[in-house]
Amino acid sequence: MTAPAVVSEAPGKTSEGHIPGETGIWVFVLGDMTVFAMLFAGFVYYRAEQLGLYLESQAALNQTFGAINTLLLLSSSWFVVMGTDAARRDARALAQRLFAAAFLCGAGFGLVKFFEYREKVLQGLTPVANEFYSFYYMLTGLHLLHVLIGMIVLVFVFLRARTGIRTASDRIFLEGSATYWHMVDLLWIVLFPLLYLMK
Amino acid sequence: MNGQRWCALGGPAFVLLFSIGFIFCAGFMPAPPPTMPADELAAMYRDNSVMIRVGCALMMFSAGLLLPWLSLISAQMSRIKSCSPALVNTQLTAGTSVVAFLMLPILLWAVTAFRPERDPALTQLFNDLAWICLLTPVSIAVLQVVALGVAILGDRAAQPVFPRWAGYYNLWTGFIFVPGVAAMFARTGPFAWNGLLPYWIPFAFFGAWFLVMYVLLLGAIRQQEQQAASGTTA
Amino acid sequence: MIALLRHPATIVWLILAGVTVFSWWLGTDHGVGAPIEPHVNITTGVILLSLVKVRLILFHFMEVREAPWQLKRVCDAWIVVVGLVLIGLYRFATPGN
Repeated sequence: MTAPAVVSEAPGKTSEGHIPGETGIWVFVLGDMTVFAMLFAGFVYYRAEQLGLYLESQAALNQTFGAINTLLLLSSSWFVVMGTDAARRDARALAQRLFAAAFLCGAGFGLVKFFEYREKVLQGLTPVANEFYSFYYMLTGLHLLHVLIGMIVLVFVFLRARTGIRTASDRIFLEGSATYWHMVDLLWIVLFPLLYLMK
Repeated sequence: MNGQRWCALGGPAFVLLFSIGFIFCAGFMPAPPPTMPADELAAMYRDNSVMIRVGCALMMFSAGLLLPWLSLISAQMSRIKSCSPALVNTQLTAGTSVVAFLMLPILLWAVTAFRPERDPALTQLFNDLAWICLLTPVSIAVLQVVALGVAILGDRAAQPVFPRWAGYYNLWTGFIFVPGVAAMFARTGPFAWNGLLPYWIPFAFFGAWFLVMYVLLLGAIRQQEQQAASGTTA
Repeated sequence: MIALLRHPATIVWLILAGVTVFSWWLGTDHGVGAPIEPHVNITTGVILLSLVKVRLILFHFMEVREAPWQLKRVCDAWIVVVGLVLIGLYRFATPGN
């Protein structure tokens, strides 16, 4: 990995390319994506064994909530991209505002999930109702856990944005955190159609 | 040979001995399904009574080997200058709790196989206890690897004790363990104690974690010896 | 604000949002009392679209476009393998598809 000489520069196009953050964060991200991929595959596989049950259960899912959540996460990713950009240009106040906006989108996602879970539970659709709902709660729950962790990370990014990127370590932290957050968005992008839209 | 290397061997030795006991002696791979009727379960314990207990003895012994292993990890963690003793102790105590909660199911299986002619309902109760105890107390396993991961990532030395990617690897392993808790909710399918999420995935990644950490620990020990020899503590 | 919107990431967001809305429309039931039965090609399309979105996020939001070729290939491999497995399981392992 080549650390740029001037650390607040945008990633330079060297012949080798620039790894956002550092190698280790991609070990984590790709590993996490692989685990989720296994869970997704498991879902489709088990769904095939009880297709009727899964289709029937899916009908009770609130696709509007799902779509809103998708747009919230997509927007939060946009805010993080813009915030990262601002931080690199040393536009610190702007960067902070953008990261705060990303955090709020994440909070919005959490809020929608709260209402969605509540709606389901009140209908008696709990994690033990049937296999579809076990998957639903497990997949969205594990993802929500990632979102909550991401929001904590964003708080630190927000706080650090005040002092700006001064060292290579600052850059790694910023880019690594952004990478993690985008991963959270990415996972939901696959999760949403599989759970909510797949017929 | 440096005493620490013996401790490090505890990890792979655990994997080997536990696998022999668990898979080949007790025959618990795959696990007996939660839906197995009590009578059938009792028959299984009766027919395999001796081999199950042999397996349990092996597993029990192997679990003990984890203690020096865990102590070594904490000892190496404390070489990280920025690592607080609280984090070092968290790894050790969490890991020790994992060992304790590993001993318990082994004992339960052994007790069940000890008097297989008892009421099948009791056999089923002990069997339920054993499997749910084995797979669901995930928080202690998660805490252990997360403490290690956080410590590694906080290492700012020019020559870190462990490579940075190992910090991320440990954090990721922590996530792998979380779905284990589903085993207390489901009796069939991918969430049951014989299913994909609580059983196959954690076992595979848990085993891999030992092998990865073993190599890394050897590296850390070698680094420590080199630093002692050259009189530096980078 | 306008300067912010002129950033390439905004175009990517618009594409992502548009594809999302389109997939959502494709995937929701149309018509009251429609029978609950699988729609193979629509679902396949929806999954494929989600993978297109994944690629956009990886390469444009996560800056893989500027990354070393090894990382690019690994990311592409993930997308291809996941696509093959999910669509394969869906089309060939699911009864009636």
